[in-house]
Amino acid sequence: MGSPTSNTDQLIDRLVAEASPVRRLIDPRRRAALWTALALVCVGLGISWFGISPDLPGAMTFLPFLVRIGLFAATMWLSVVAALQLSVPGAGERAWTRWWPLLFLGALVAVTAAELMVVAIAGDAGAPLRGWKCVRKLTYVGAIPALGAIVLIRRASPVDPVWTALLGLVAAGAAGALTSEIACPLRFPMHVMLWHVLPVAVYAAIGTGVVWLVARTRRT
Amino acid sequence: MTPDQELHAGALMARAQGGDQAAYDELLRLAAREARGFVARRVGAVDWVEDVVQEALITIHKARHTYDPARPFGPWFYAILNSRLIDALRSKKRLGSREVVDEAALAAQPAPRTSAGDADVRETLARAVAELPRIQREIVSLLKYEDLSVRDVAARLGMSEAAVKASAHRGYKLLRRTVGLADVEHRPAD
Repeated sequence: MGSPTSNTDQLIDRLVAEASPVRRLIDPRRRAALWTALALVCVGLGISWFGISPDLPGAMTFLPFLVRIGLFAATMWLSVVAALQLSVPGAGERAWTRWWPLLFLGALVAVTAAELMVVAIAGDAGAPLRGWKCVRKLTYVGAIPALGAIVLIRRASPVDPVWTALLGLVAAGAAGALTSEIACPLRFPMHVMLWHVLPVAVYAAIGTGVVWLVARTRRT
Repeated sequence: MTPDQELHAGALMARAQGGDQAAYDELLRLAAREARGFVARRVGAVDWVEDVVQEALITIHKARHTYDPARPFGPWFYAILNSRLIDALRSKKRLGSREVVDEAALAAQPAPRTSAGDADVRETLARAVAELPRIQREIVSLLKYEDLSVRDVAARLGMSEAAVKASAHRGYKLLRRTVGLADVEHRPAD
């Protein structure tokens, strides 16, 4: 067995011998735009499959609904941009790159919670146990964008897989939740909080936990 | 890595992406030398430096298509190196916590160069430095690990000396908060 340095020299020789021309990765923002196009197609298909909520025209004049839709869309876009930037070593390392999407997700929770408090004071928070259909919508619509995000992230080379996975899954979850918001006829804040907003965080947390475990196992 | 080396490495990588094996060979040897120094400056003379160097080279190989020649080579290279070093530190720490201690064998060994406490502080510090915003991380690394003067750092990064000092101060403040060390600013680099 050679010295560690001579082993490194052998490794270099092997890597050089293996080196063939590579196709450069395209810019993360263009990849994010591609992913967003895919996600919007999935949202469109989801809405056409599940149907548009009959009260949507009325909801479009309701400020909290519009704010939520805007926050879901912003969370989706910022998360996928951040995930794809972080998947390239040395790119997207500005302090707020990874925090902006989570800030928007937090704002989403805060807006829904505020609405919930207001209606709870009036005694009309709604029943909490009626939302599995919405989780199903979110899962079906979010699955393909989630797979797309995983493929795009793996095509790059994330040095921080946990953060990258978290942001990719938040983006996919937000796409799914956007569908639920438009297709679901229930507007009770309790329902929106438990079955539209929280599943995004729960899916992201579960997926991130799995990636963390895999990364931890690989290290040992 | 000096600015000239960084430019040269970026050009070599651009050629390597096109399949130029001679350029790739030169780049990997330059990267290995730089990685050895980088790891040694951060964690001292440990016997697993070469493991980190090899892991970093393999990652560079797998990730070479992600390097954009329009961007500087340094941040790309050091992000890979940092992550491999942190992985190694975590892995060593975990293995250390699982080892069964043979006290008689330990007593027969010469005293270790670093205590477990030092290793913990180094790991925490290395991780905290890696998590600083990019500019602060570069400035802190150049000042503390490369031992450059404020003037040299300012020249290298194209910033004013005042801006370097301000960024370094903010970086040290973040490190103090994260690591809980009272004297990061005045602690000499290992």
